[in-house]
Amino acid sequence: MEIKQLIDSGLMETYVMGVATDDEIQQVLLAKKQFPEFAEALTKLEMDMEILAQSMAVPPTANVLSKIEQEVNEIILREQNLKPYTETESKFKHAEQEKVKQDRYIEVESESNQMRISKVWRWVFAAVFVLGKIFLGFAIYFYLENRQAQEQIKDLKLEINQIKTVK
Amino acid sequence: MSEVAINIPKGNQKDIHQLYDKYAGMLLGFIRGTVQDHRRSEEILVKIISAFVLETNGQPTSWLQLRQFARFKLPEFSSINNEKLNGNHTNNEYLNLLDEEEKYIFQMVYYQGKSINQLADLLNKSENILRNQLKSSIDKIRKARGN
Repeated sequence: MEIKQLIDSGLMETYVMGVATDDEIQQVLLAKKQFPEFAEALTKLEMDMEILAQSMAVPPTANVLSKIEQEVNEIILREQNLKPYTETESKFKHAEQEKVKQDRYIEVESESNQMRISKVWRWVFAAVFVLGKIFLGFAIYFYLENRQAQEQIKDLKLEINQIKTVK
Repeated sequence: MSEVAINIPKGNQKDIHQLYDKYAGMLLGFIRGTVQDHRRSEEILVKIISAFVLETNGQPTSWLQLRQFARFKLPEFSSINNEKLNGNHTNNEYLNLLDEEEKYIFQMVYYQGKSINQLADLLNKSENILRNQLKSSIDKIRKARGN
């Protein structure tokens, strides 16, 4: 297609009106790159459309600019507040994932040769130690008692035998 | 300047002022093409310019880009999909050069973003005829302006 034909085809107009199809956009961009005459005509048309839009402009009321600044400010603040929250959230998620991992797998090979246990266990160990001592004391006491009783029985048997022989 | 604006980075403030000075009136005119109520149009204008400033982040921009952005965001911000053309607003000296059909086609494309294909179905006309009509309408306006 000749460049004049391309300019007159209405392709540029659909492009600047923003309703060109993807194929038409590609065609326009290619022609703009390849043909300076086309690029110039397109720029001119874009400028004319801007001037047309200026002729249809409606001046906004005085407070619109400050409203825009306020809106932009609010969006920025919202995004800034959202950022630390998402960072904390991701840290928390990471910690949760680590915990789940630890729950799921038992660490077979430990790096340290020492064991960490809860402080509650020291009272349990102390109670076991004291009870052990008490049982040991009872065992010795009953052993001695038993030995004494055995000796008394022996003596009594001897006395009985002596009485029998005298009779 | 209002106190609430102090958190906006300086670059952004400059972008807002430049964009506002250059395009706010044009954009409001564009919004008024579909939204009848002036106050509501201004509320939408605030939302569109704010979103555009944050999205482009100081990059150079054109009216074409801003208008496309506005057309894309308009249904979202105004909760309208098929609002009728605002006949009062489109009473423009250049648009008045066009006959009724040309004016209708131009407005449907410009304000509502109807594609040539959609219009061809709507008006039961071939795409080529509509493309030529749109081009001839734009040519008429450009000639009247002295181009």
